Amino acid sequence: MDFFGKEIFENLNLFWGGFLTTIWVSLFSAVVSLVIGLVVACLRVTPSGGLKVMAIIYTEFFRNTPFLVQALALYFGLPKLGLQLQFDLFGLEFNQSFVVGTLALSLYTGAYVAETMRAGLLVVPSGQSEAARSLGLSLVQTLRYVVIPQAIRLVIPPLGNLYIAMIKNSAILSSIALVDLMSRAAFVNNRLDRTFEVYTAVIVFYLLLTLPLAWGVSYLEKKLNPLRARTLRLRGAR
Amino acid sequence: MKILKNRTTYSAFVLIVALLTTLLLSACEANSTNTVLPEAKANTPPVSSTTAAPTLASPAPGVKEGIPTTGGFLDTIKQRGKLVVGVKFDQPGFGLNDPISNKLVGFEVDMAHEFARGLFGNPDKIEFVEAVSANRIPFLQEDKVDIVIATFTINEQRKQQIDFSDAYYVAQQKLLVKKGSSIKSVSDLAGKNVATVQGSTSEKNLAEKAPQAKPLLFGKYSEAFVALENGQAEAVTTDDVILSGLKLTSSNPANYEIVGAGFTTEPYGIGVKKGRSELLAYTNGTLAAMKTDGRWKDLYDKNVKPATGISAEPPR
Repeated sequence: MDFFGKEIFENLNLFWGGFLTTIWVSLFSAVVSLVIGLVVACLRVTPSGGLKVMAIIYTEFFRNTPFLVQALALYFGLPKLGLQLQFDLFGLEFNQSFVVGTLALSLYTGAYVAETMRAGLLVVPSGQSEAARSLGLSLVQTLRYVVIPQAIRLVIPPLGNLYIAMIKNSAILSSIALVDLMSRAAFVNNRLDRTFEVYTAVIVFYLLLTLPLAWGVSYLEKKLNPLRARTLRLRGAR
Repeated sequence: MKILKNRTTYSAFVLIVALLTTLLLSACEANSTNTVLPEAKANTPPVSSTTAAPTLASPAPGVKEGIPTTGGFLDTIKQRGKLVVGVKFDQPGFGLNDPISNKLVGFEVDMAHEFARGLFGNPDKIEFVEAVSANRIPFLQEDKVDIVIATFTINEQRKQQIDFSDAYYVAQQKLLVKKGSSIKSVSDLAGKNVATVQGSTSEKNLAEKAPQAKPLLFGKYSEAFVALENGQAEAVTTDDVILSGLKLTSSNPANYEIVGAGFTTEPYGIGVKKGRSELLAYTNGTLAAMKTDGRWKDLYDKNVKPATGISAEPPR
């Protein structure tokens, strides 16, 4: 039988490794960028001068330069500084493309996460932290127990969008020799000469990653928002 | 549309619509390739008798007797008044858009001018279109160009989709390494990082000849070379002419050497759309004439030799 994309279906296994790499690089970058974003956002809302300035420089630098340039600059630049970032861990090989790719994607996404988090922190009414401080909580305790738990709920939907964008941005890493979905697409196309079908398959693979994330985010959004959750419960009860 | 109120169902609906649209579009595409009219026919300029008449009356200068210059698609080209050729814009020595003069230069560009001279008696009755590796076959099939002269390796897989002329150059795939490297041939590549370009014949050959090597695939050969310079890759592999260009344009050519007695041969041919026997015969005839009357040698020595340092004779 002959149908659209037949050759692709027969060679789906060729995409598998690339698909896994895209998932792994996205997962690692998601965790690292969340940590970076949280730290940088906290530094920006605290009064301390030097660290705040560094946080601002970091955010503005990574938000205002193209990701492709950052990735190429890190990949080709770090070895010039004598840094060959690659290692074996638990029998797994983390090559330079993977390590530098994760680093680049985390630094880039982290800048956006920081801005989103900062917006979330600023939206929590200042009365909340003033009350916490007057009850004797330290600055760190105030952030940890009062402000951040409230901010997290507000930032879940925009963060979800950031991580969807991050998965899509990971495609750029094929230019620093990461064998991800995009790189495998070129590989398969080089053997089958079916450009249109190959890239249609790649679109479907990316949708498989991004759409469930979009659904998950909208579910969390409902679940974590106390006001909406109550409204939904009331609606259900009626 | 009550069903669409549910967000999950809505997203699933969008996904299905997107997929169906894609399938539909591809179906249209498949049909249209059979029915598409040659671009030349759609926007043929009014035929100027001054360009057409003399060429039809007597063979143009530089054309040997016996090379067909009329009939079939050749007439369409003549009516249009120019030859449309796909060449590389980024391949030193072969087809390069010179950034300083903003002019196209190279062996393949000069050969294209000779093909125009044979048809029109004027080498400048020509239009160049940039051909990158991935779009060379589609350009021919969609009539965006008449012929493609763009470091186009003749192989069986491609021959099923288009026709090739005889070879006008035979490159060999080799390895560029740092001087003193332990890599001497393709059999030394196991476990080594080897840089080349995504979607190239070189990538495919590397996977076949050195399956144990770890390919590092970049967008451009210049990036693959930086990886070698940095020690991220231990070799760059592609056609010898390209490797020579990379070595010669590096900051310190003496630090690098080309090794590995050509582990593949890459005969470059001129691509022609299937079914254009007159155009193919004209291309082969002119090519054969250029090989014997010294034009091939002149153009090669003018373009490729200075850029690569490799001497060559016309392939048989």
